[in-house]
Amino acid sequence: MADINSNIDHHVVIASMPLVDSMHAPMAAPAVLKASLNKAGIQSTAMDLNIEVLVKLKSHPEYNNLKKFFDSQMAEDWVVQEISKILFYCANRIADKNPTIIALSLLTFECQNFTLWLCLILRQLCPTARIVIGGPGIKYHVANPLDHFRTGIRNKGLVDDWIAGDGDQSLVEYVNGNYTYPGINSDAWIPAADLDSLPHPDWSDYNFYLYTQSFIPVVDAKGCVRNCEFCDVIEYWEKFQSRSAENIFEEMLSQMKRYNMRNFDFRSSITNGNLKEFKRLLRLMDEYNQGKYRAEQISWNASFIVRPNSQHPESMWQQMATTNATLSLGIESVIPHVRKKLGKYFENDDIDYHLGMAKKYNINIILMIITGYPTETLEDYEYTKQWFKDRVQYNNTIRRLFLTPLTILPGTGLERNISKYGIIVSEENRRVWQTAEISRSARLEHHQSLVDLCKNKLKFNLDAY
Amino acid sequence: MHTNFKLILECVTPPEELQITIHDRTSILATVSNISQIETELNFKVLVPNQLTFVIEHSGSNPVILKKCSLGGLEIVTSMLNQICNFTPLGASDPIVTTNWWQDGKVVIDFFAGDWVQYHLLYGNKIIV
Repeated sequence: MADINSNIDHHVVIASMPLVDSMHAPMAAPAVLKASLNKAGIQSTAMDLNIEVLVKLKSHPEYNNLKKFFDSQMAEDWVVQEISKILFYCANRIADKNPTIIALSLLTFECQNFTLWLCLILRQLCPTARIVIGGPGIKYHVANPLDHFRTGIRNKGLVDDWIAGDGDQSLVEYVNGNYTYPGINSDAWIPAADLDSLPHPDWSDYNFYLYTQSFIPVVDAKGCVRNCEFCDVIEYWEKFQSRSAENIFEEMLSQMKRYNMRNFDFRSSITNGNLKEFKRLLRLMDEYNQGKYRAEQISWNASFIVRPNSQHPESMWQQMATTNATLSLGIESVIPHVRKKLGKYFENDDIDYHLGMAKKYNINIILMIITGYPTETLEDYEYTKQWFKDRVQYNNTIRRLFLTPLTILPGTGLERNISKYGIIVSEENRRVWQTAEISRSARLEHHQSLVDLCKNKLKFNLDAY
Repeated sequence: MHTNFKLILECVTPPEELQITIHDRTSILATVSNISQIETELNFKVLVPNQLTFVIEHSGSNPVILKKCSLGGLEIVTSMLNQICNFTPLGASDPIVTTNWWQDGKVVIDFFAGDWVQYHLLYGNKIIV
């Protein structure tokens, strides 16, 4: 492709790539980037192609066979025609806008296979357009500097460039031809200095009718205040940044006015990372909801860290109830010494306090547990089962329970500690690992046994992987 | 019902003793010999628009550079696929534009007339990066 000509009027198409198996709310990146381009006077169209493909796939009798293509590029003969139709549909959605630049957003590595084939078609349909990819999914594991997808797809000529990190500013610089801006074809990128200075996402090109629930995403913070050793968020966003309550609430008000939707999906890793701003936001939402019927009230979902009781007083729970909160709690292990060692500094009493408050105020909880953390013992496995048995009274409060075996992600603190923990891990599949003390089969047996207990005997609403 | 196809073969220099055979998986559909024009247009009918194979044989002594090869208005993309992705060519040489193919004396172009994406998926070809 020729260099970007900064003298022409660009039209940028920003599209989210399938397949992210979530139908309840939109992919945020295209709307976020469209707003940044708008602010810079650059025309663009934002497309959530993920939902358009998902809607088609979910209703298809051959869903599992179609999904194989996204996982492995393989397809049974009888679904080949359907896959081709999907690819050409997406390519033509983009080509119809006559873009000069095509920006493809990959949220996870599961978007990579589709992107490869789509780019091949786009090269034919839009031969003069520059294609750039971005998002965490341009790497298989976000914190792995050796990951080669982003460079490999560029070397093959399927895309012209890639952008690392957040694209709020770097995509604007890219369109303006500033290829040396940090993050463009380089892993070193610059986070926005002040999140409040970013424009509010522009959802005007989205079709909210396609989603199963009417939630509007809000990016309320980036990074994390914790330093959990298994997690790669802090490897990607090294510094925690939050927006002011007023700035977030202003965005919520403008979206409500435009779209008549009052359900918000806070997209940060932790919405209560900045407790001061979180309390102020709660108060603003609480004041808004006062005196309104339920249908007119704000409601919200968010990831929420457990803290010592004193930091989350009962008055906060009352406000979370009046603002219709659903909280995702990643407690990971119910074994105190394991949890502390992996980077979560709260006690089991704190977990019980949070569950008790949620039950008292009828707040939905989504609970996330890693089954068989490497530092857990066989005795800890039994303790975990008993812990759930003793908390069967919360099986309605915990609206969904995630029991997830651990994947050892490259570039994380846990990976750096594998020799210390005596972990033997497969290079091909980071889910395949064991320790000197506990074999992989024993750990998987524990996982299955915990799943059976929680699902069949204790009647938790289970999401197990 | 038959589908009409048109193959346009464009060379940089006039070819000598060029022969093209078009066949599907089971039978020969057309054979054209003694092509000497720089641009040659072949018309033929196909009952089922499925996989087609063009075998282009050249027994002359002068180099012939294939400039363009298109079918039904769609440029044959096999060459592009082979160039930028690690697709396994199903024939012998690769009819890439400007490739000096005369030395082999024979070029096989496999073309899935309906949809090249389906063609590669059916054969389990993957894009490897």
